[in-house]
Amino acid sequence: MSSNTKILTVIKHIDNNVNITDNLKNFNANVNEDYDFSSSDEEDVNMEEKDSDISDDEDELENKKLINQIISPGDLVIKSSEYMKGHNTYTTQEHFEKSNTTEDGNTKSGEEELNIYSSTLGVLSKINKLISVTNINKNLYQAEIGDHIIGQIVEVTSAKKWKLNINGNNLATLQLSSINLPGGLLRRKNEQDELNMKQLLKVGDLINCEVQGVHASGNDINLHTRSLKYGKLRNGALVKVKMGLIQRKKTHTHFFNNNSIKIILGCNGFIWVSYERAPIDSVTKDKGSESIKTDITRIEQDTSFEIYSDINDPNIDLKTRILISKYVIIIKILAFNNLVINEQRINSVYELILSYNRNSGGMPNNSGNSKDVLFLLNDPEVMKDIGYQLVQGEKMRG
Amino acid sequence: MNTLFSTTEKSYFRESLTKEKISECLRSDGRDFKQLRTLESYPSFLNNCNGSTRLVSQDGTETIVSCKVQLMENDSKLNELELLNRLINIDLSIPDLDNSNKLLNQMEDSIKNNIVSQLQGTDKLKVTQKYSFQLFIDILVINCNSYPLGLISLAVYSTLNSTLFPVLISQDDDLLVEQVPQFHDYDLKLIKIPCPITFVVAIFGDDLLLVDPSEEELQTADNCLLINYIEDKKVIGPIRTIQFNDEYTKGFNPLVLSKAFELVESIGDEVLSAL
Repeated sequence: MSSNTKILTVIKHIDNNVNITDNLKNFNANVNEDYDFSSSDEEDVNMEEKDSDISDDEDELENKKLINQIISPGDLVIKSSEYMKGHNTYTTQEHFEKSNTTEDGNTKSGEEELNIYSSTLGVLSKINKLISVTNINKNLYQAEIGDHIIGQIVEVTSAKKWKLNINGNNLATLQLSSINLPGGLLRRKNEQDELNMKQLLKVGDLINCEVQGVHASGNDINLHTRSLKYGKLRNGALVKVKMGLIQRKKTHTHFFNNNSIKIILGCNGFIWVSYERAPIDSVTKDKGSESIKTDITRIEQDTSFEIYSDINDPNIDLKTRILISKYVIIIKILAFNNLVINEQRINSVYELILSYNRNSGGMPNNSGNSKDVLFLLNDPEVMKDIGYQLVQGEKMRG
Repeated sequence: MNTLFSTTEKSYFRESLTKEKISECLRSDGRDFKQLRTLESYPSFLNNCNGSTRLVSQDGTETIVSCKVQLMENDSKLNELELLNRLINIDLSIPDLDNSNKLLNQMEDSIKNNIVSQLQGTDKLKVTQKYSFQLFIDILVINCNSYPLGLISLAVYSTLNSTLFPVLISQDDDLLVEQVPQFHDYDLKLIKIPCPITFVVAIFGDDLLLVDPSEEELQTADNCLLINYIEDKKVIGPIRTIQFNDEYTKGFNPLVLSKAFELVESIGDEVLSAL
């Protein structure tokens, strides 16, 4: 390592001092003009209090008011026993028991009142008596059938299912029946294979999969990995980017640098950068009548227990590791500049980085130098600069 | 904190850092082993505090520290340590962790003890015979992505170095006279309160030491050290160890300790001067 590496880079923002307070003042002023939080809250309370003696007309009015209203987490949505809680809502433990004394003197324990609260920021929706809150966070993934995504297992349930975090509103499910079993075996539907589930996929594992079905207006998502290109991910690192930076394309798996690096751009904003072993040409070369046979044997070979192992390829050398880190940083640079990530852009940033290497590093010594450059690229100003250069370059080309 | 990594990811990171030759080891973000992550700093950004700092780390973790000064009447029954413990008030809050969290309390104690131990034997906070300055240091960590103690200690250090105290205009000897101290209306002065900074050092094997480890490094390290450093190349106690994973944690060679001290001593001043 060169001796002049800076141990700590600090970017100071001193001038912002006044601006922040000014902005805050302006913001407050705006708030007062545009919204009147206090009064709307009172309305809510009044509505809830009136709850019991609302005539039909008022009931409709109330519904109209509730719908299309933005609700923040923890807000009381409604206090009533009539409604049921749906997605993104919760109820508290305490039930308010109204004891009504009738004229006869008997005390009837009246209906239990349930308080329904919202658990996310969203818009209220009501279907008959079911109250649910639709999340309005644009950063969450909206699944569509056929999307190629990457998910992380967060739960192994007893009902032959895995629950995956796919950066969406709800957890997605991957059923035991929709994965390839090792060795291309067919499933014996007994207790044993339920017990084996944890051997195949564990909590934390990253899965490369496809959306098989979307039900209940995007709340229930089924995934499958029934193809050789899907399955458990190894030999690399995950980068998470904002939704919207990845567009739906024909292919989401790209190869770079003489096919040594594989990048999977998951539609849900998860990106996997990994080392790819150079394919053995001998098998693929002799095509023709034998190709079908070899394909079948390949399926058997490839779906051996190895596809669910946790062991990485031991042959990843330092050069490849540096490359992987480099591509991770490239993706971070694109995400930092809010640029849509695609194969072409990754390639052009890679080229920009090569020139950066020569401009600032000075020495075209490739052996140890590339390691130094990596951290240089982490600097926000360098990232901004590269993004600017990229956009300029694209404008030039039109 | 506690980001979930897959087993293969963890072993990939681990493999990158446990090669036989040190020159073949690689941190996932390409940093040098003794390099800290880039920081964005917003010094004195709050107007209604005596001192404040906002530090944003590269991984998105953001620390906001504010320091307020109040006048407190000394209780003559207390000894020096008890008095200092009352004068320094630290309130650390991290939205993901509740107030009874072990990790949170440990960080809070460590910061407080570091400041108190440095103030012992000095009378920097003394105003008059009867009155002292009381410090309220509030720390808020937003979007916490890795163990934040290193970042917090840097923020506290730079806050305490820019905290302005009111200037006394009345007499400072009030043992015999019953008098409330009077301060200048707007003039403020800087009292430099010594504050050590804490380095988090992750240990991989017998040779490799990583300064300011990121979350994936914390989760794959053999062990971690918390080392306090104060100006003029001095490592000061207490030194602690801390672990963040069950899979890879193991004991370490005591010789690593002296290596870690040397490492911290060599980079400490550069870090302090950069702030």
